[in-house]
Formats: sequence, structure tokens, C-alpha cells
Amino acid sequence: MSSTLVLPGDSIPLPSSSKSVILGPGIAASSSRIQAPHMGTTPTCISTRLGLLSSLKGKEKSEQVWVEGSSKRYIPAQKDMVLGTIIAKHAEGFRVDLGSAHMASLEGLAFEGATKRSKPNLKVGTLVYARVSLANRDMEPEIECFDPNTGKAEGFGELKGGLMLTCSLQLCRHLLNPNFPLLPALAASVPFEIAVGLNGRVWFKTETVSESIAVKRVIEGVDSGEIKAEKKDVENAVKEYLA
Amino acid sequence: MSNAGPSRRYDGRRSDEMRPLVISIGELDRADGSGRFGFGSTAALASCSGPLEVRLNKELPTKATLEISHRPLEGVGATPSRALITTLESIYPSVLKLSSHPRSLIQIIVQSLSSSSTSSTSSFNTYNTPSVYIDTDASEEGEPNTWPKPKNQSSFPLEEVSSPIASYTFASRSASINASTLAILSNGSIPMTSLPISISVACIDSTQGQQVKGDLIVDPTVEEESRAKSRFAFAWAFGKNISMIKKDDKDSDVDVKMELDQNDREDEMELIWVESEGKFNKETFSDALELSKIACRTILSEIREKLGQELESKTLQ
Repeated sequence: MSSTLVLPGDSIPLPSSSKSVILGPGIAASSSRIQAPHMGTTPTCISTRLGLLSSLKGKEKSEQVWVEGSSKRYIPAQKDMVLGTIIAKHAEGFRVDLGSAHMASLEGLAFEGATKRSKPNLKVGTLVYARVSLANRDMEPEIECFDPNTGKAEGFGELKGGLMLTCSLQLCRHLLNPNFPLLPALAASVPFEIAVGLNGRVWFKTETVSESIAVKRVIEGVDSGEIKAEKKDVENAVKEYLA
Repeated sequence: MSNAGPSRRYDGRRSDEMRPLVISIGELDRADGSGRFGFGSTAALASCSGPLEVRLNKELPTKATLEISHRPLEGVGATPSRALITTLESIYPSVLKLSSHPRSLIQIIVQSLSSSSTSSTSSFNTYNTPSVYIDTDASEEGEPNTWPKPKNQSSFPLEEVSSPIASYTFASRSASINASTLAILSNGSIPMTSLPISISVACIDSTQGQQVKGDLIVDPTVEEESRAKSRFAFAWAFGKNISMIKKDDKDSDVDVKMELDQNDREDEMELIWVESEGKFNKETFSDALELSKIACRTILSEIREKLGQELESKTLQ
């Protein structure tokens, strides 16, 4: 993984060796305003946000390119796992706040084992873990609390107890990466249950209140850069906060 | 004209030297993005939140609503604030891809951290009777524009009459633009196609021997601005292929073979905003324009460096 700083408007050099290039977030095509006849209509790629240019080799000589930036505001994307708060209840389902510009709608039938007769009755203020099933910039996002292939909950649904905290979207993405050392290091000292939403929200549940506070402070510390996301630093921090 | 020998300014700067820049992002915890930019003590802090939920009467079906507000250091925002907002509103819709977030709100709030020239130059007799500013004849050479000027004299040139006196200094306007740019950068959720950067330039009369000539200085202080014969502020947008942005439905099949050389990265820039005031001729203006180009490039490279450091320190893994 290579990384260089890019600012909006910077041109993105695309790898020529790869067979296909997948453009990720933060990269857009832009055509020259001076239409050179010999150039044809080859678009140029520019960055549209501040961040580090990252790339990853995929299979069959393909390469993914994106700009890894930090932001706090979530923009819904399909198949993202998110944490939302129910803010209203109506006949067909619920309205859920994901922290994005629009409220998401959660259908009453989009739960494991839900039928027309028995829909889950969630109260306003309930936290749910869900998957974005429809995300379109012109439409309200829709979320669901089950896997449509199996019909099972697969961990989605209402989250009872525990504590939710908000952090940067970047940290959430990292937390879902199995190689990121923070969660294994935390789990070595404190047992907990966790749900990471890609919308900048993390829910976890521990046995005691003091453990909850310690976990929260560690995650927030890593987010702000005060604690390094390395095994030793995390363990020291947990020890300090638990004492 | 632009490089007028070894003559130094009050604070020891060269004529094309800026005050030390203050650049930082992400200071405000509760805003989605924030940036502070300062030319020395002339600074502004901006926040950028969004995309947020928009009020129904402001909702636009095809693009995001851009709401820019400005807070002065003291008092309530009046005409000068409004003027600054208009400036920002003329710059940002063209560089942001507002169409990628329809029916939402993008909110930019700029807090000035230096006062408008009303209060800061009150020592220059701003509140005197207006007749003071109506100079007899500005074209008269040599006589009124000795350098430096005695302070008890009316130091405002004739041109001040035509513009609202209580406006922000050009340096402060430039700082506000740059701070807003940093705030949007720090937000990271709003696509931006080019980077607007602004700088102010002033033309000051100086006597060298018998001759009276105008010296262009970059990033004038409040004092220098009030003494200046003419003042300019420029904003340049930096970016590849700027101003012709392919509409949102971008082609997904991008030609792989396309090669981009790193060298022309910073070469493309476009003037997106100019404000000027005072008496000047065409040469002065084009010289100022050239100076601003160089200065904006310097600012850009400094932003690049600072943000690089800041991002590096925050990078996880």
C-alpha cells in the first residue's frame, strides 16, 4: 500500500501495468476544457478530497485506487453496515437516524422471522444494527435488519444495553479490518461484545461500567491520535484507565 | 515594479513576502470539518458541516443547498459581513460538486479573528468628518503621498469615499476564503474539484529620489492597506482541468493507458475571483495579478506541507 498526499484537483496517476483499474471514493473523472483534437475524449482522473492516495492490488491484475481521507459525516452506500437510532414509528416501519443527511427507512418486515402479523415492536430511541439495502443520492436510504439471502438475523437487529460512541469514519473502517490491532489488543484485557457501523458509530457491551468507560476512552484516544493503535500502547492505556 | 530593490517594509518583510502563515485543520470538535488560516495575526476560523438535513423551503431537488454565514469578531454581521458572504458564495458553488448530494445542506460558517477595518484603523481618524476623505486632487504628484505618512494626517486616500469604510481588509477577506477552503478539505465528505486560494496585494506609493512610484506589496497589513493607493485581492483555483467538469454521470470505463505526469500538477490554475479598490492602471493590475499567482502557489505548497504533516501524525497504521 503506497500513499501520497493529494489535494482536491490533483491529478491521479493511474497504474498502467494493471489490466483494469477500479476507482474508489475520492476520485472523479474530469475532461480538459481545452479540447485537443488529437487527445480524443480521454478523461483525466482527479482527486476530489484531501487524503492519502492508496492503492491495492486485486485479483487478475486489477488494481483499486482510492483516496483515504478522514471525515465525520456519513454518506450512505449500499451494503454498508450501520448503527442507527429509531426516531419515529409508523404503520409500515420505522424511521432511523444514521447521521447522514437523510433519515433512513427500515421496513417492519425487514427483520428475521417478521410476518405481517408479527412485526417487531421497537421503541423510539432503540439502537439497531442494520445493513444499507438501498442507497441512492436522490432517494431516502433504506436499511434492513436481516440477510436477505438466508432470512436470518446474522447479528443484525436491536442492540440491548451497552454503550454507543461516535468516532471518525476512518477509524470505523479500520476497526472492521481484521489486521487492525486495536480490537484484538482490547479484547486481550477486557471481554466485550462489539458492533461497528460504517457511519461513524461503534456500539459495545462489557460486564462492568468501569470496563465500558475504559474501552470508550481507548477507542476515542485512538481516534484522536493520542493513543497509538499498537498492542502495547493499547494495553497500557487499558491498564491505566481500569485502575 | 514588483521587486522594488532591497526596500523593506515596516515589519522587515520583502515586498513579495507574506507574513508567517497559520494553517491548521480539524480544530473544532463538533463541526464536521474546520480550518484555521491566518496571515500572521489576520486570521479566520471556518467550519464546514454537511451534508445535513435541509429545511424544506431551502431544499433543491438537483443539488445541495450551500449556506454560508459569517460572524464578525465583534458586534453583529452587517454590510461588510454580507459582502464577504457574497464573495464566498461566488467562489464555492463552482468548485464544489454540489450535485452529488441533492436535497441536503452544506453549511459553512466563517468566524473572523481579526476586526474589520472600522475599529482597527480608528486610530487613523476613520470617524472624522467625511469631508476629510475628499482629497483635493489625487493626481497631484508627490505632495500628499510622502512615505511613510505622518499619522495625524488623513491617511485614507480619496478612493475610500466610494467604498463602505467599514469593510474588511483585503487580507482578512483572503484569510476567510482560505479558511473556508481548509474547512471543506477537513470535512472530506463534499467532493471538490479544485482548490481556491486567495491573497491580497496592495500598491503603496514610495519616493525614490525625485520619483514617486507605486510599490506592489503582497499580503499587506492593516496599516499598509490603509496607506495604500490601491488594493487587490485575488483568488485562484488550483486543479487539473479546472472549470470544465464532466457532469456527474462520469464514465465508468476509464482508459487504463492514460498516463499523467506529476510535473504539471500545480501548473493549472484559474482566476476565480478578483476584488480591487483604489486608483491603478492596467500595468499595476497585471503586475499584481502576476504577484498573486506566485503568492498563491507558495500558499498552496505550504498547505500541502502542513496538511501532509498533520495527516501523517493522525494516520492509523
